Amino acid sequence: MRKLFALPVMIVLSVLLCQSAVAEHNDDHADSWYTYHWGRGLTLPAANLNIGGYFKGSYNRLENQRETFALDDLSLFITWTPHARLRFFTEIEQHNWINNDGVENFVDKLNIERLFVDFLITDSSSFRFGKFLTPFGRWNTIHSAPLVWTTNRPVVTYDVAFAPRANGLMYNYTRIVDEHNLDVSIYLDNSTNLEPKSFNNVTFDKAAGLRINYELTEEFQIGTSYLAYQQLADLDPATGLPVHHLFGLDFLWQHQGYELMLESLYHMRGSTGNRSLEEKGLYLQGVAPLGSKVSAVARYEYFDTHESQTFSYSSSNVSHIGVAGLAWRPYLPIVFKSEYRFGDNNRSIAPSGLFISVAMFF
Amino acid sequence: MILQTIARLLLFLGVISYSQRLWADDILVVMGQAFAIEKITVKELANIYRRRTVINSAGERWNPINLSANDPLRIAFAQKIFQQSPEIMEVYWNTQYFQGIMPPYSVNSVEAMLRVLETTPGAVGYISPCHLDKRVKVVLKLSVGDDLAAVCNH
Repeated sequence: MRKLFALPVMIVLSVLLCQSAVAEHNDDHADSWYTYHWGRGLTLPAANLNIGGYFKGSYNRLENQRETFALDDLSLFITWTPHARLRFFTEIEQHNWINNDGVENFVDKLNIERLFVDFLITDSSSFRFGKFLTPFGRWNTIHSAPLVWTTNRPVVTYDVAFAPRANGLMYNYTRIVDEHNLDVSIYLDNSTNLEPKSFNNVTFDKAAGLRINYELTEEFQIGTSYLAYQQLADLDPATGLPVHHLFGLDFLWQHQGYELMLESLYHMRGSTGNRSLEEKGLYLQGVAPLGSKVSAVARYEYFDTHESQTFSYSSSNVSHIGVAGLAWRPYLPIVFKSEYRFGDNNRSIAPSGLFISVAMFF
Repeated sequence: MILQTIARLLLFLGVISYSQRLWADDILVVMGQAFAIEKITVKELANIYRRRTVINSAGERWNPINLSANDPLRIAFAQKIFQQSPEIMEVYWNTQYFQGIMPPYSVNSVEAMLRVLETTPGAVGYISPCHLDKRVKVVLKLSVGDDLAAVCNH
């Protein structure tokens, strides 16, 4: 029980310590060999090195499930830029290290979330090699708790549809078209051969994808994604690995603290034997500032999954999910969230219940 | 004679005041004299300050320099090139921090800005026209609606 109290105490202490860090913050970097900014990490300018990270602690009470209390994420970022054209980045994460059942083994829960090198070919194009977040839609590439408005993820961004991380090579191209940015990413994944088995969270076998984002204005951007992949979980000795196809459309509008974000996807799995799978879904999320650094958040989600087997059975499941909550961001790096999720036919994929969390960049 | 002299002085002061007011509505985007870049567009500048564009066409690193967050010149500059205040831009930097990308360096004074621009390869910054001197060259002039005359008195 003492362990359960340790987390809130740690969070309060962090906030108090970080408040003093903000007060001492000085923008002039000229004379110090290191700088620390709350929410921007520790920078060693001479070594072109930055070390930072974030944590998330949460309390969830879902219908027909026992309540949970956990330090879900404790992440460390390391960025090293040894040359104008080269940038190394890694994120090392402890996931669910402290929870209702006590403190888990530190090493067992350690995971390499991301590990890549960026090579800048020109001012508009670059290669990324390593393990990176799969650039499908918007949520997956910004999924860290201090950045998103709700504790729980929308269903269409779960790894039920695609693996959240890819291992391979990505080419990024950016261009100004009519005074607006156009970004294109093309990537190839070979997770089975590139990711050491000890990391143990591979879901792609092989994948290839494309992501395009266009800024219509400074406040409004639209995007589309395509991904084809195979995963070892589908392996059928008789038919081999089926190919999954995903198509996505999304947009983001932001204005003076207001925000509207939509992501939709269509997922089709090629038949294995005589079985096939088809999924489609979307979410639309709105955020409105209420004053005193509190924002109201509301989200609607739709998810439709259809599985069939020739001459045998066909099952279809349509879920409607709603999320309503508040987010309080007293300082930019820290956010407290509270939300309630409810819905229709949502028990198996997104059960109703209460979510409370605190997350902070350090 | 005395009236004529006073009238000329008043005219002179009026012209000076008017020209300072005209100047004070502009922000000059500047680089050190040694660097090859002669011209830059608003969108290119926005991408450099957002760290979307990291190197120039010659493969050298861009080093965008900011004034401190509450400086009126920085506020006007951010509003002009991002259509957002520095405060709202911090939300953008939260997202970039998760990608391992850090915001531009900040300095506390125009003199510090000029010193950095003169000596740092790829450094780009912004000043008021009244602070322009031989150490830097103008690569873009931004017209802003704000009256920035006060920054000349610093």
